Amino acid sequence: MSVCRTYQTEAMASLFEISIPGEQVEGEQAAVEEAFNEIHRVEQLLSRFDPASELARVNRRAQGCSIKADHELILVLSDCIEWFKKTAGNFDVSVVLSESGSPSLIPGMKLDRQGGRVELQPGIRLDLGGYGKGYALDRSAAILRRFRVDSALINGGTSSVLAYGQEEWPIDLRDPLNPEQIVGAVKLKNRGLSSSAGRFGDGREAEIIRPESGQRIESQDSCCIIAGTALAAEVL
Amino acid sequence: MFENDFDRRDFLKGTTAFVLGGSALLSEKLMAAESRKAPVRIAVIGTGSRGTFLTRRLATIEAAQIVAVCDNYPPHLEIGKEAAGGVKGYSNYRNMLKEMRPEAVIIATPLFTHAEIALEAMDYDCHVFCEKTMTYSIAEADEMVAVSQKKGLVCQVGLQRHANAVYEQAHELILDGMLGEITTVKCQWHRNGSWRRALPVEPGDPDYDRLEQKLNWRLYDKYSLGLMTELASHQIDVTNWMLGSQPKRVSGLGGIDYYRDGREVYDNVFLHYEYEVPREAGGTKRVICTYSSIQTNAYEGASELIMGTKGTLYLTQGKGMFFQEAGARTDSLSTGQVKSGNTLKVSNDPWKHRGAPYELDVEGDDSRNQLVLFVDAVANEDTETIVDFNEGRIDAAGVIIGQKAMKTGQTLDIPQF
Ligand SMILES: NC(=O)c1ccc[n+]([C@@H]2O[C@H](COP(=O)([O-])OP(=O)(O)OC[C@H]3O[C@@H](n4cnc5c(N)ncnc54)[C@H](O)[C@@H]3O)[C@@H](O)[C@H]2O)c1
Repeated sequence: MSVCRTYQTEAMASLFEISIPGEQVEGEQAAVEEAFNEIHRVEQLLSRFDPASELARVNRRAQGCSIKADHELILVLSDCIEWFKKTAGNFDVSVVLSESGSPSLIPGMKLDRQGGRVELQPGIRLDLGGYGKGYALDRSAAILRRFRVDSALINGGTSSVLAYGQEEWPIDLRDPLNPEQIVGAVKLKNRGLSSSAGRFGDGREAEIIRPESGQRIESQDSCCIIAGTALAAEVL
Repeated sequence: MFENDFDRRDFLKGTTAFVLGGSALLSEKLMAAESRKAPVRIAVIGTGSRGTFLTRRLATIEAAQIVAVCDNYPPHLEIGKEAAGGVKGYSNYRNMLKEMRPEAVIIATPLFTHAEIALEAMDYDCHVFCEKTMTYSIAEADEMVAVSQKKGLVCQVGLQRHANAVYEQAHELILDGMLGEITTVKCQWHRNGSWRRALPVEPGDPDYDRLEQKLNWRLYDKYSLGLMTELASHQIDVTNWMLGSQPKRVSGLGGIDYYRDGREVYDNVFLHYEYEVPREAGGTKRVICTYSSIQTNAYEGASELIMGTKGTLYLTQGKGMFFQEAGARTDSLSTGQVKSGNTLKVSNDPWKHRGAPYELDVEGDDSRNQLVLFVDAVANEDTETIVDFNEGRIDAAGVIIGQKAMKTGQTLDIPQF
């Protein structure tokens, strides 16, 4: 791989990085600033921890009461319902705060897509953590492409990576229990990669990479997923 | 009763959380009975970055109905229409005003167009929310104030810190005398970035120059006064508010010292503003406010420091901190409701002298809060908005003359309103 330039910004409690290979095109820095703005915008929309985010407002206000919510958030939530169905309930964005609350997204959230409204069962809060990162990576890639950055590797902390364009990026996979230990390597091209602990996909839309020591890692409920988009990699 | 209860509560939470004995004017405003049954019909003019941001928040306010959006750049108009949940789009605001007859408009176009559009809208008896900085020139601001007052319209400038519980609490602390006598203010907005918008075409494209002017308007001095109108305006406004005064004189230095990309506005500015504020013992005293904004280092970030003989307020949009001066320190604040933060004090901590801060917190989004308050004001035909056009004019005069002082290298008097 040739030399590349790397730009960084902090968002979603992670360090996001954009690496761009090859000759620097005019306007590259402005394109990267636009991409970073988009990542920060997504954070303002989907962060559960920022009290100023739209998701935080929904979590505060929509408990037992239907409220008008941001158009894009409604689309994101209906997409989450689709993923919930596709993964047979393995992907769920709800967090249950009370004993009585239902642990599941579908009964816990009422979404009125047409009216742009959402209601949560009391005790249910939404957490779009992983989804938000994948979503931010995919959206920032679209912006970089629009501004003629033809190839880049974008990562949102070490757990989520997206590569697009002609470049093939070598990625090391680490043992989650012993981060010094590299347990495998993949070459990423036009794919999203997400590594996680405690979540599992059924692999229907993604290949699950099992490195050499896969047995052990799998038993620690950690896996690494590569999919067509960063979002799919996160969700699966 | 119609809506705003829920929307108000976000903001109230912050203000009622502490209220240091004082009554928060804003909370009373927010509690005002809502008598209207129908939502306020609002149109948005300019759906670029900020206009889209505001449109999306407006679309979540139950008491507002977005009836149309307008932008003369088609890609932005499309984004704006979608953000509004699919409404009619116009490329010409005059046509929109004529056909849709909105009750109120939100103006989020580049600085140099604010006055022209606001005056036209007021001609249609529209209430106006105008983004900061209110105007490019003081003469334009004079005209907007005169027309709005003559017509009795509800007008507000987008200086959203007035709808932020951190700033509201800070203001109450000051009124309560917790800072003692304020003697010094220090504000800065330091970032590291080119401030350039990416263009959808390559250099050499026949549209390149046109789009550069259109999308990077804030870099050219016929459209914008750069850092002064785009950033400093927020903080000069905060200083005016916290001091309860307006700046009298200004001097400064600025230039295009780092970027070499054809921009015409300064990439770093350093100014001194002089205020003349009343003293408790009678008479007045001068308070100097230092201001800086740079685009090559983000170490200091964006904040305002309000410094008094008894304490210091460090203010940002997401958090405020109150430090007592060593001599004035008490074990705990009598109010009991401002919570004390946990600061680790190591013996060689260079900041040890500051003591532990008391934190001012906020819940909710001030940009959305300001729209909730504007919609409320329109619904109640209450012309006393959180930042009316006269306050917008005072803010504009401060930054416009500040720019002129840097250009001429002179100390200049600022008109008083
Ligand atoms: N309060 C804040 O925190 C804040 C933050 C950012 C921007 N702003 C303010 O918002 C305003 C817009 O800034 P921006 O960053 O969104 O700029 P922008 O360039 O992204 O958007 C401005 C939009 O106005 C449109 N426009 C220009 N002339 C028009 C006309 N005659 N009729 C209709 N549309 C027209 C442009 O096509 C563009 O889409 C500025 O005044 C800026 O200072 C305020």
